[in-house]
Amino acid sequence: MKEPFWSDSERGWAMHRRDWLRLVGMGGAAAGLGVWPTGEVLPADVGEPGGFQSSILAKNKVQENRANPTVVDGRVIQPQRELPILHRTDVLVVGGGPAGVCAAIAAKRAGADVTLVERYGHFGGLWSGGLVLLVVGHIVQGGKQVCQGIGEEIMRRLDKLDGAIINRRPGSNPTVDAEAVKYVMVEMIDEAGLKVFLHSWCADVIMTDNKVQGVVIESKSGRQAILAKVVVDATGDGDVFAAAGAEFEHRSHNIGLVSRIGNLDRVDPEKARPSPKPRLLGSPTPVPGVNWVNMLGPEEDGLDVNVLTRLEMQHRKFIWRHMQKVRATPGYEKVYLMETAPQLGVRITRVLQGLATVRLEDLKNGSKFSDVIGVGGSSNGKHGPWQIPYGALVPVKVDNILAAGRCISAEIRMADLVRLIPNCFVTGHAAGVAAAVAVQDGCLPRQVDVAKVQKILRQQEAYLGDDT
Amino acid sequence: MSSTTTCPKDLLAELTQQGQSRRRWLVAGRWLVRVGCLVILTAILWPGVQLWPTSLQPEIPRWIQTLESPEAARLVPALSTWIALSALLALHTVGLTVGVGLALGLVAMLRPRWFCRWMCPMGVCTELAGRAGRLCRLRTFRLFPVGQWIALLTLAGAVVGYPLLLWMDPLALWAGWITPASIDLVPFEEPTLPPTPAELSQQTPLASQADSAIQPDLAIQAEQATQTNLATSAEQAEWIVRPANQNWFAVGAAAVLVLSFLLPGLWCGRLCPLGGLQEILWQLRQMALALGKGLNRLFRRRMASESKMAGDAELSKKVVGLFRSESKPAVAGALGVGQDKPAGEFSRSAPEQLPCQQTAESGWKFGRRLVLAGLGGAVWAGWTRWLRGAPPKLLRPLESVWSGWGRRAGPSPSKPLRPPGAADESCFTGLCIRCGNCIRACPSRIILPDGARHGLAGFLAPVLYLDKDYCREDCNRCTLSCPSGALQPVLLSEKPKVRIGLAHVDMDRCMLAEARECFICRERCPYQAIRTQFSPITYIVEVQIDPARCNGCGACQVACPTWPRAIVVQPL
Ligand SMILES: Cc1cc2nc3c(=O)[nH]c(=O)nc-3n(C[C@H](O)[C@H](O)[C@H](O)COP(=O)(O)OP(=O)(O)OC[C@H]3O[C@@H](n4cnc5c(N)ncnc54)[C@H](O)[C@@H]3O)c2cc1C
Ligand code: SF4
Ligand code: SF4
Ligand code: SF4
Repeated sequence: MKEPFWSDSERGWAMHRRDWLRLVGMGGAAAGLGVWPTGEVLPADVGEPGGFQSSILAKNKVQENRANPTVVDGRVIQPQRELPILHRTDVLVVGGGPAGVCAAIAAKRAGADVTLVERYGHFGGLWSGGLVLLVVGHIVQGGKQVCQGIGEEIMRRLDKLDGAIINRRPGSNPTVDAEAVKYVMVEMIDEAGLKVFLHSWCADVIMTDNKVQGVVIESKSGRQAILAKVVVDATGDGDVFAAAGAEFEHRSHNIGLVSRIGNLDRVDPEKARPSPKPRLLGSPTPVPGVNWVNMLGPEEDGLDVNVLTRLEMQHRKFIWRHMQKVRATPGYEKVYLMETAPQLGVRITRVLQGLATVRLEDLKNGSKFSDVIGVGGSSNGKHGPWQIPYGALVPVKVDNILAAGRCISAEIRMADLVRLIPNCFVTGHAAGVAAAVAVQDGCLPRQVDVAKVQKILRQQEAYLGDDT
Repeated sequence: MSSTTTCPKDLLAELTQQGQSRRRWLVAGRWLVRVGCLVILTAILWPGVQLWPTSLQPEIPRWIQTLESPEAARLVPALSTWIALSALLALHTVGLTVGVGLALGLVAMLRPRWFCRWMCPMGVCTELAGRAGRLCRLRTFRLFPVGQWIALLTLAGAVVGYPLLLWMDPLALWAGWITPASIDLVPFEEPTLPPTPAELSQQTPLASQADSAIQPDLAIQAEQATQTNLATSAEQAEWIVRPANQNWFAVGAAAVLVLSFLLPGLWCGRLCPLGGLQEILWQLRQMALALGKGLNRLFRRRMASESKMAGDAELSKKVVGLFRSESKPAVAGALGVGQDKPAGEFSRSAPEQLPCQQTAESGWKFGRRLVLAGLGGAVWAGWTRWLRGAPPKLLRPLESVWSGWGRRAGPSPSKPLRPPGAADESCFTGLCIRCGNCIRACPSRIILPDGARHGLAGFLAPVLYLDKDYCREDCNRCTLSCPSGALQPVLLSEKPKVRIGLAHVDMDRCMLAEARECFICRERCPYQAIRTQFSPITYIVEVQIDPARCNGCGACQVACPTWPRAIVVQPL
């Protein structure tokens, strides 16, 4: 076989005239066609597209354990089927928002085996995913901070991070960075050693009589069961207790979509002065030049998928168009829409009918409860502390389940206090400890020794109104 | 001081001169009654119980509570026949208080200047001041009976709907000085920016934000906020109350006392309109008597009884002379008039006329005065009402004539906010006697004396200041305390329907416009008059006020965390 012209043969480095001509000719042709080296190349020269390594896990696979609903007489019927058991645990916390994360960590620290299930890929719920960055409700009249325990621990961790939180002064309401919240929560959950299932939507509840035995989650892995001794419903919407048949109040509330806008530090003050200030520029966040913009939105039913869909789309249109108006204002040309919240701002939907109820009357009277498990603060420091009774977390009939966060049992007039982030920390913390105690004592949550719960809460630095 | 020590001596001198022990007792008794009246009336006006802590109030004995109630306070100025008559003429309503004043008017027809001699607290003080003045050798001077003119002018004004000088009533002046003496009113102060309390806003206050060098947009926001606030506060300034110094209330009474010291007897004898009215009533009675006698003579051709005639002559002489100071030193002395002066010092008419002749002449004069004062008062009152934005009822048919030359259409823009139950603004400042009763009655301390902001005619009339507190849904005290009808009594059950004003919201200033979750006004409204509703057009939740429910109590305004307030009660 003839050696190529560049080969290092015994003839040494030499190029025949013919080889030279061939080379020049080839180069000329390629250049003339303009296809080399970017043009069509021969298949023999191509590696794998993309270059990632991907493997076939199973071939010709058919989804196992299917039991597709069928149409029978025009109605869709779900046949019986066995669900794979994904996991078994003592305490299962559904929902990874402010309440759920506190509940899971508290239960773990109280000595239980804890699992946390969250439908999205991050923790923090509306606080981070909903971009509700302002923390309100930890202080009461006189400036005392009533939200302590794990909620305060989260805040302290944010303090230590660079650019995670602003306005952390006694008596004022801090604003956080959403990513910092997500990060801190991951860190704390890791440290606590929790079992977590993200991207898992709790779709149903496993029941024996009126006792909850676990939940069914839907995920890319299909429909699976997680068995648990006690379930904490921290979904905010009460998805779990509703599925378990607990009584609740169905409420409408304002549904908005929060966004963040950037470059506010590049507003030209000189140019901006003559024209009126555009509306809805929001409030500062830890990121310089970035504001978060709240939206109240219309009062609607946050459980109706049609409503949620319509509002997502409608709000998005408004935010974009409003931003164009802002940018058209002299001086504000550089301001831009950074992001809209991944999670629609649903404030209140289902509210548990509990053994006890958080009532405005009790706030006004400063009522004290023997089964106090936490103290709520006010949104404006304008009124005193209000005690939260344990009964507000416990459904009237269904067992082995506790509510935490914005869906606990509360009068409609108290809803806007109960749902504040610090108050969700407080109820979450308590629900976690109570669930752990119920597991350890082998009793139903409604029979739990509240004194013991209070003792552990105090050990975990929660504030139960002791000095008042 | 000196006057109190000298007065028994004076009296003694007077008594020995009279040499009648019965008179002596009468005079001493009268002094007792007068001082007693002064003490009791002052105690009633003093807002004593209210100043007690609310927790203790139920424990106060019933009778004290009744004595200190606004209704009782209302009765004090209502003793004035002049106020009662004016209210009756201007408002065409007869109430209990009007009845009291009219009853005393009847007494004044039977006994000359009975009120002055037995009850008037101002009279006691002016007399003492006058005695002190005379001790200092101060002298009085001649004057025609101004008080009668004032009384007549005002009554004529009342017919047109604007009692002109009603505030000169001695009982009103007396009640007036108690206001500054007894309470401290809320001083007006404008809150400084930044307007929004941090806790309420979703945003922390601009001032406390991180260095504005780092976030220059905040500086702009703050600056622009100030700019817009200034622009709009100019509009709002129209409704902001800048009260007069409450001490002005005491000026009237003080002036009377000073006057009585410098010119002893001048106030009671010549200036006091209530005294003037009592004289007019007496003269009316005399005319009626004379008329009756004339008719009697005409039909019977004979005197019914000579002795009765003689009695009448005696009485009438006494009365006509009384305030012209030519007779009866006891009575005149009691009034501080002409004790050490020759007879007739104040007199313009010859004193020694026979009763019938005198009534004929003074009747003629009196009739002329009546017509002149009536015409003058009506024109003056009409003019005032016209200036204040509403033509008097009598002149309303002519409205189209003068609406051509420059009268502003619609309500006057500088209309102030009045307490609940206030009479129409066109006559309010006339009806209000500036007694300060409502100011003292208000548990919220939201009624303040107006400055000259709404015209000089409104000086010291009550205006509502709703920035510190609001008009309570369970309160009607001010309306019960008003003796003149400027504030009509309001039943508690009707309170929701009694309009003070109407809340207006400026969405440019409302926190909701920046999507800050503030619903305080809605939560605080005692009458559920506020709704918050998302608007798909502006994309904010807007505050809506139901004019059918809002009575202008101001609870929303007090609670609103913005300044100048986004929600403000404005006059209707
Ligand atoms: C627009 C808006 C503005 C607000 N402003 C403030 C404010 O300024 N200050 C303040 O303190 N509070 C504010 N709030 C209230 C506060 O943010 C929320 O009430 C609070 O975050 C609720 O906490 P939570 O843990 O109870 O519920 P969420 O934060 O809603 O968390 C619930 C979690 O459960 C998950 N979940 C839900 N359903 C399921 C399911 N079926 N299966 C698995 N996981 C599920 C969700 O993904 C979420 O992570 C605001 C709320 C909104 C919407
Ligand atoms: S009714 Fe209103 S304005 Fe009048 S006294 Fe009561 S609170 Fe004051
Ligand atoms: S809207 Fe305001 S002023 Fe009107 S009734 Fe309600 S609280 Fe009072
Ligand atoms: S008008 Fe009402 S909602 Fe708006 S800022 Fe004032 S109190 Fe809040």
